[in-house]
Amino acid sequence: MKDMKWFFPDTLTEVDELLKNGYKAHGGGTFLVKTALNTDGLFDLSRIPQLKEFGISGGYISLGSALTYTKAAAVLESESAGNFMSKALSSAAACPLRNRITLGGSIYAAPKWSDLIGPLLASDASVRLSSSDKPSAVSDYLSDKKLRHSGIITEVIIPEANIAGGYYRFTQTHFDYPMFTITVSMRGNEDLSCCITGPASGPLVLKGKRAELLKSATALPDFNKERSLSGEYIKKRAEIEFVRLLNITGGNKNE
Amino acid sequence: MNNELNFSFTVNGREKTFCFPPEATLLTVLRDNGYTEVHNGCETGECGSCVVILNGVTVNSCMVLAASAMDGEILTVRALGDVHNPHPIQRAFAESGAVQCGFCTPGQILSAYALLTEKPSPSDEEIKQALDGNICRCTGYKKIIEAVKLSAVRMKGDDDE
Amino acid sequence: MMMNKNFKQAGLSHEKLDSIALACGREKYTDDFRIDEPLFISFLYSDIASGLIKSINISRAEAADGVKAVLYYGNTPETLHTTAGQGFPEPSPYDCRMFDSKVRFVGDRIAAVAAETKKQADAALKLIDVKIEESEPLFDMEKAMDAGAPLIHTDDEYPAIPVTYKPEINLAAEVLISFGDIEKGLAEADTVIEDSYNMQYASHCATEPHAVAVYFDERGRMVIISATQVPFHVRRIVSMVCGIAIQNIRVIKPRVGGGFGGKQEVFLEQVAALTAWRLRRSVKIVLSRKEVFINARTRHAMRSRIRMGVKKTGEITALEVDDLMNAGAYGPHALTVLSNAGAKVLPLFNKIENLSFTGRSVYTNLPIGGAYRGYGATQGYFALNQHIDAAARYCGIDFLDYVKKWHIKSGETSAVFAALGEGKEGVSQYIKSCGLGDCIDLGAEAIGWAEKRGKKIRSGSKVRGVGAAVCMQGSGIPEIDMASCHIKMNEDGSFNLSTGATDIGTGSDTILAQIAAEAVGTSYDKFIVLSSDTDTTPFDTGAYASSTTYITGNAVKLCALKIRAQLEETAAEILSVEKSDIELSGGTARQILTSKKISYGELCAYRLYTSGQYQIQATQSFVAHESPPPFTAQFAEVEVDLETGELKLLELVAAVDCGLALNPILAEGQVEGAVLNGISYALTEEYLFNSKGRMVNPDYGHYKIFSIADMPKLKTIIVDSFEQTGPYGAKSIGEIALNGPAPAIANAVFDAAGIRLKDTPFTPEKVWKLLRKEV
Repeated sequence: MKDMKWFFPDTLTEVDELLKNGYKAHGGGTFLVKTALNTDGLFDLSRIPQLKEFGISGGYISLGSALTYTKAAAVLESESAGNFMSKALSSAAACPLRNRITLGGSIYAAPKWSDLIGPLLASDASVRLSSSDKPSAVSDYLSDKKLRHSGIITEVIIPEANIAGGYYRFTQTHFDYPMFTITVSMRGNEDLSCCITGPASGPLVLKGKRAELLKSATALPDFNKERSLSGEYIKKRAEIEFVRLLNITGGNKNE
Repeated sequence: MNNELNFSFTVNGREKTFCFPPEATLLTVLRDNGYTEVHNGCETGECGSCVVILNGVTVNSCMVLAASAMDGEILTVRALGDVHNPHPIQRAFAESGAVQCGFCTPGQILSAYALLTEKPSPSDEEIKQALDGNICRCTGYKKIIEAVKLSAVRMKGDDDE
Repeated sequence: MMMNKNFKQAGLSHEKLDSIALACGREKYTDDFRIDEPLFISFLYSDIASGLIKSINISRAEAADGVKAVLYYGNTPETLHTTAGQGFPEPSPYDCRMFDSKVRFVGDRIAAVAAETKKQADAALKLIDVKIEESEPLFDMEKAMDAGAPLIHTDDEYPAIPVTYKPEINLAAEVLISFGDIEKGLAEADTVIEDSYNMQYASHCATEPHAVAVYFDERGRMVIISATQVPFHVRRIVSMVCGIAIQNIRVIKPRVGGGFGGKQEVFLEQVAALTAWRLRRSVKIVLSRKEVFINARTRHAMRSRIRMGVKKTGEITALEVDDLMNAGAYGPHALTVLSNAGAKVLPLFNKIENLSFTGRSVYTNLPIGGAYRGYGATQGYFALNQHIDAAARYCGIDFLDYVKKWHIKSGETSAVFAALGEGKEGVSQYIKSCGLGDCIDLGAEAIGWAEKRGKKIRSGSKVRGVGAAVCMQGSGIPEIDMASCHIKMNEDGSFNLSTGATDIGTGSDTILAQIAAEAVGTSYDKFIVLSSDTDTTPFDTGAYASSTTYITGNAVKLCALKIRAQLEETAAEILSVEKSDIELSGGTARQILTSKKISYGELCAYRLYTSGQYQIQATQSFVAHESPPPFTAQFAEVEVDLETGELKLLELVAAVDCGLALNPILAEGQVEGAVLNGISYALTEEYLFNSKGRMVNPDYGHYKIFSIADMPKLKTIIVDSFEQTGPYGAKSIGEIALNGPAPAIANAVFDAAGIRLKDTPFTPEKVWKLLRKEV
């Protein structure tokens, strides 16, 4: 173990400096503890007030990246009861972890079993980075390694109109890593934006009319085997659950 | 070791300085300093035996790097009460048969405490949501739910007095 | 509800004696004790399933920072022993050395490092140079006895008692009994029902991982604090393996964070003790959760094949059971778990004249099986209950009516009791209490059997069904297990109760205090219970085989009655009356005619200080001559999604006859904990192995046990019952309830969807595949 240093910046300016020196950001730490702590230094983001702010303006919900799942779910739920984003955040992991995992850390780590990535992609969310004034789409952030390392996430921006819809997670038990997640975001009329996480090829975003999506729902890409479940079954299951979610989301039945 | 940190936290109302390596988890720091009521059941954040309250919310202390808790306020189950003067939740757990081997109990009780502080009359679903990270292999959870409900009744009674 | 026996202490839901201290975080588990500058031990585990250690060089590790010792086969005793914490001589084969030159599964121990810090010990493991010559592994238990199969044990391993043991064909144990003529019985049948069932490897998941701490007392004796179910067996096995005199070993059992059979195994203590003894240093071993999964013991995987001849009348003309059990790489409990799959299962349907049980336990290069709550009965009942369900359906008789007609009843016996014991013949017994009929009636009412069975209630793609299962267990091991206790009295009317019985969270300290209080005539909280410490408490075989309530309970009752006699005698002397004129109750002796009272404290003080002085005290040992079975009927309501195979357990009702429940809340707790473990075992828990025999899911993230958010509706019913041979009517309760969930759920799924789930766990994919076949 190297002599790892700890820093507690109060401002984003300090963060920039620390990033330039090659140090890593610490949000809730749940991901860092599980992976090797192979770094010269960590800086903790919990003392930067700006990263814990939240609000709504111009149709966008803005959530500071240091907000925990618990806090973010509560904020979202109070803005729009029953939305899929708060449902996903409050069903992820377990309470003491939801109290610790931060939005920023979770998007940065983006594990395959994330409960957050699907809803963000389906809702066309974006993230603001410390390195740029212009927000980046979450999809760009996830695919662009350079972007991911250019700065820390300071803010998650979600179009308020896009978080109505449905969410499904496939797990063995409640406290579990989903083998797939499905998010259906309603965009008015019969327009939907959907994201399926879990396929071997990565998250899949599908947009269109309900009727069209129902057709493509039964032709999802392949899934890998997980635990004792075959890829074939998981794929089949995802297809069935996708159809079901499409049928009940925004339909006359309550989700 | 020369690179150990000297950081202060408040544990159970007392501010103390702790000396530990920069990569230490809060669990090991607490246990090494005598807070053995914080139990180590898995060290992967998946059993809840090590749950403590950090700045008002429950966390798995095995998943918290101790340094990040600097200046924080930590509560272990001992902060709530002791054998001569137990907290209503501790009393309710004992009476309801919610304590068998007791290894998960401190975590269960702290999760219940955090819940009841925020929601004095939780539904079954809210209890399950708040305690979903605390694995118990002895009780089958039924008596834990009963204990949390009994705690809620008792604590409201206390408030009324 | 409870039979009124006018008990003052037995049958009351007293609070568990240690529960407030546990709830306040004041009690100590093994790793919570502060011992002076312990060395920490880390283990090097094999990542190869089968092989011979060609060379091992420990010199770099020995020279590493902080390292005080490196242990491996070259410098440790070669004593063959079993790690099974059973009575002596153990019925399990002596097939294990502290360290060996052969590795037999991924996770087998190669070496141990003792260092000043855990980190240093872990670091030094990487400096041990090991070259292993791999050999072909054996993973498929069905092939274990094939000619030419790789052999797991070829080095002088032997059984400690005269039983069949043939390592030359990987046979770790064999149990063969038969009555009547199977073929004749099958020929008489109207139909023969034949099927195979499989149950999987599982971990106990006691929340406290295994731990041991060793230090030396002021006079140089070695003290072992251990998270164990069997402190006296720990002392004996450590002595035997390390060559340290019993006199120099003291084993203390502090609070234990659950056991479920996993802590009936003695596999850390000898390593810690040997290291401590050699270096004269304190030592600690605390396993990680991953180590518990990989290296500690497991539930034996078992395949059960049944042929059953059934007449249209319901009569079973023949029952042939062929069980194959995977012992894993070593054989602790390989014989007795197997034997129990017959002994605790077959007597339930005791009217079968043509009966045979063939059980074989075989070695493979997989993790080690061991004791696990249910102990073979879990596996046996999974198979039998589905078969009975099929038989009843064939006869057109409701499952519950069928069971009620054919199950063993009070006053009846089964030849199996006498035939099957623990590595020898069993003990004949007649059932004196059987509340199974009540269990069935009350459970059926609670689940809504009459309204739901066979109704296949549909809602979209989902269909509901109900199913049931019936089981029995035992109460200790007759003529083998011995328990003892000591009670002494203090001059304030309190008592010290010392017992070797091992409370691992079950509440046995509390119910033993209740038994003693009932006998003495005072309240349970007058008893200060000490368990267990090999220096200060008398011998007890330990917490296993559902024995504490019945066997230790009987010892405590008899012991407390001796105290009662001394109190009577003392009171009679003080009051100058006959003993028969004295009534003892509520901590007071009363002269019946005059109502003159003397408190128990005064009686004790009189004997300590005044006249005819002696310490009011007594000891008692107890060996049981029978093992009265508790009974359970369990009911499951499920919902099966016909499209996805998702299986949802809506409710589980467990009705149990445990004799008189000495402490109903604690009894319910035993049932509910076992039931949830049984549910989670039936639905999600499983060891997953890769092609090299490595367990790939050794953490709670991937080995899924139920949390509070997964629990279905649970209902526990303790039926009114009284066992005349038990202490104040009690039988056991610890294990039985784990046996019911898997077969009850499987039978409910058949009721809903017409498919037979023969392999646990019931993953949605297995259900889905069977449903597709059905269509």
